[in-house]
Amino acid sequence: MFTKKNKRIIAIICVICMVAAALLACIAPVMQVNAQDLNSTVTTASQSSFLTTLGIDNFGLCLLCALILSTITTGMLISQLKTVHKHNEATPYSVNGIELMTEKDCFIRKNLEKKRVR
Amino acid sequence: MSLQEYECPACGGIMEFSPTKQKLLCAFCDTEIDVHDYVANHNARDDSTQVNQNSDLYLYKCGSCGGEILGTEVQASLKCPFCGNNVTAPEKFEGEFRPDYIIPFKLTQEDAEAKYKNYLKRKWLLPKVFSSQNHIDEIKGIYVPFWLYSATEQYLGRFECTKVRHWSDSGYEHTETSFYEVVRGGTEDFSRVPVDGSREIPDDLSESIEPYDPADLVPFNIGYLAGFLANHYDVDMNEDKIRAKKRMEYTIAQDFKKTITGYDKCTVLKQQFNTKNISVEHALYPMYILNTTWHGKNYLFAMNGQTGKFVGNLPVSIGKVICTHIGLTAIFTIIACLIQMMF
Repeated sequence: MFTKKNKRIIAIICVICMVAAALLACIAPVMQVNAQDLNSTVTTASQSSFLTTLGIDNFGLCLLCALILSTITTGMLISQLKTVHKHNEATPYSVNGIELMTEKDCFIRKNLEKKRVR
Repeated sequence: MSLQEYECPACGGIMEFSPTKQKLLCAFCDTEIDVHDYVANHNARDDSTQVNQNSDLYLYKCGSCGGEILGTEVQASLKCPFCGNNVTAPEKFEGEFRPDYIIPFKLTQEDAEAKYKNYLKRKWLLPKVFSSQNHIDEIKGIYVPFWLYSATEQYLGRFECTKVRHWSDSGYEHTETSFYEVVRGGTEDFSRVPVDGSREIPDDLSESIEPYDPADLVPFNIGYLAGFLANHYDVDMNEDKIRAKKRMEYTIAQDFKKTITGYDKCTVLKQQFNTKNISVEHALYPMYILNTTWHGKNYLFAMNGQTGKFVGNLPVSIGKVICTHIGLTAIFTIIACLIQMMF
């Protein structure tokens, strides 16, 4: 079901989710304070109202992140039980690896985009 | 059809190939004989076969006890269900069916059992009754026919790759995307890519226990089959060639893609493959098949008889999945809340 490479990717996603959960949990109260008490910039106020509109408070945010993490972890545990799958790679049977004969990197064109900062 | 039996020259007992000693071993008097020596000194018996031509099933008569041994058309090495006598039909491995090589079993049936028990450990979501109450119905040591393909694979790939650069100045955000045409080409040599030549063994199962180490390949000798089941191939080498080419093409494409570095994104525009100097060999590879039934469903496990790699799909406990999910959610929520409170 999951190859070794996929498992590694899932593990990295898990770590990123953990960090993201911690960061979001820290930022959320700061944003709300900024919006309510200090009446600061439009950006922070709009972000705060967006979270409130969704009905997501600090605890909700923690719960959401925890749900994502637990789903990924459970998926990984299920994948431990499924080890039969087709193998397309034949790497162990490669004799000396690749012999590179053609190697071309040609520049074609350049695109330039310009956006006004709000 | 004649049957080859493995009778001990010292006591008349049944001889089996011993994976630990790499010799034929008599279970009764411990006589050890080299595989090559035994076959050279003992001839096959001609008086012990009966064939039922109305079906694919063949009926053999055991030369030891006279019991009937039932086998399919592809089975060339069998065991008598009454006396445990090991018999081989050498004619099934003659002519085009004769394997070039064989990897003799390196691991025993006890090793397979131990691996199975070990495999069930640390599987959180496995139903507890499966590991505690379930028993293996059958363990079979079987030599599976494989086609081994060696070839030089040629590759030419054209890619469109991009490099993206962002910067901003007063009032504007700039994004510069540079497009490149990247070409990679070359060759890769493959040696003995195995493809299962038996319809009886599921392809995903045989591929999951790879790799086999071709360093242990020895010229085929029927003596290695004593005590194990063996099939001759029923999938043609041309039919399996497609699978071998697919595996080689996939590998070479991945290997050449790894040489493209320094870009943010790469898209394949065109890929060309050419297989040169293809050669095919026929070998028998060792595999243990473990069979178990649970809640009316059949579960099949396999172990590489050379390396001990063990695979098999296990049932999932829905109750455990729900409990684990709820438990993990609670733990992660507490951790997230604690982290939030710290700041």
